[in-house]
Amino acid sequence: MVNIIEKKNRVRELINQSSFCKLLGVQEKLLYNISNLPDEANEEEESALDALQKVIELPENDSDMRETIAIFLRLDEIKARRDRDPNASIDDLLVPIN
Amino acid sequence: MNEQPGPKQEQKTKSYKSSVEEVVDYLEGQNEKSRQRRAEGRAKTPEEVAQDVRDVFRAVKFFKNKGSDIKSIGKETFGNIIKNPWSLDDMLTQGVAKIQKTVAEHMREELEKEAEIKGDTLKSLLDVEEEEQRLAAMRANLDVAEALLHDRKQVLTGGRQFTTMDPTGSLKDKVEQTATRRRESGQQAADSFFGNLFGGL
Repeated sequence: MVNIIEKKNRVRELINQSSFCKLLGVQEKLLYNISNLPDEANEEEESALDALQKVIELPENDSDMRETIAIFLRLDEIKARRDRDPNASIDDLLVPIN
Repeated sequence: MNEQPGPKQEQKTKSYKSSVEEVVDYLEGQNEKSRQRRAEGRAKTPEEVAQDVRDVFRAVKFFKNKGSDIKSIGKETFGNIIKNPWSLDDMLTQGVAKIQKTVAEHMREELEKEAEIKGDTLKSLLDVEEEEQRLAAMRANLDVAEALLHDRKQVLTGGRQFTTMDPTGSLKDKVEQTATRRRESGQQAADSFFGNLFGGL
């Protein structure tokens, strides 16, 4: 029998690592909906988790998408830094994320 | 006797295409189940996760179909910021508005494709209606972004006039008021380039 708790943890880990989910701003929502799934093994929940895992992995396996995502994450970071500190210098805003 | 879960599909070779096919198969099956649930008035948590799959998949399709367009917008926005750092806010707003416009175009194309393929069956009309509602929310967001962009252009022009023609400061006050307003509406329009565009509408 598939351990659905392990599967949930695996998908949670993928969501946390996914730069695409971060860019879409959906990490919290996805994690919340997963946490609401029951822990008993059930074919429907299992297939939902499998599908979620596959769709999250798609952008990570595509070099073009990864490149585009990286550009926009950097722009989002510039935007967020600007919002936090409207007086920040352009040099500070452009320092790449670690 | 407890039944074991049915044998899972053969593990396919990991590839973009095979993964897409599996997700499409899942979503097609899920559409029918969702319809049944709605008809029976049931709301269940797996349905929420299924909606998450739809949202993320919709975004993946957008990134595949409009990949070169959005990459160009990203690079152009970044280049504009480097060239015009004093107009950073305007460059970011312009970039966000362009992305939202591209998303809206993509959604429209997808809807048209959907309607064309499925014809005028009730099922397709229901699907299209759902999508139209999401698109309407997106358009409202786009309108705000475009109004914001217009505001910012005015502020830019006003700012230039201020340096040469407004030594008393009245225009400066006006510009500051507009800046406050645009900051507030800007945050409503988009805290990020893609945030909430494909989910939570």
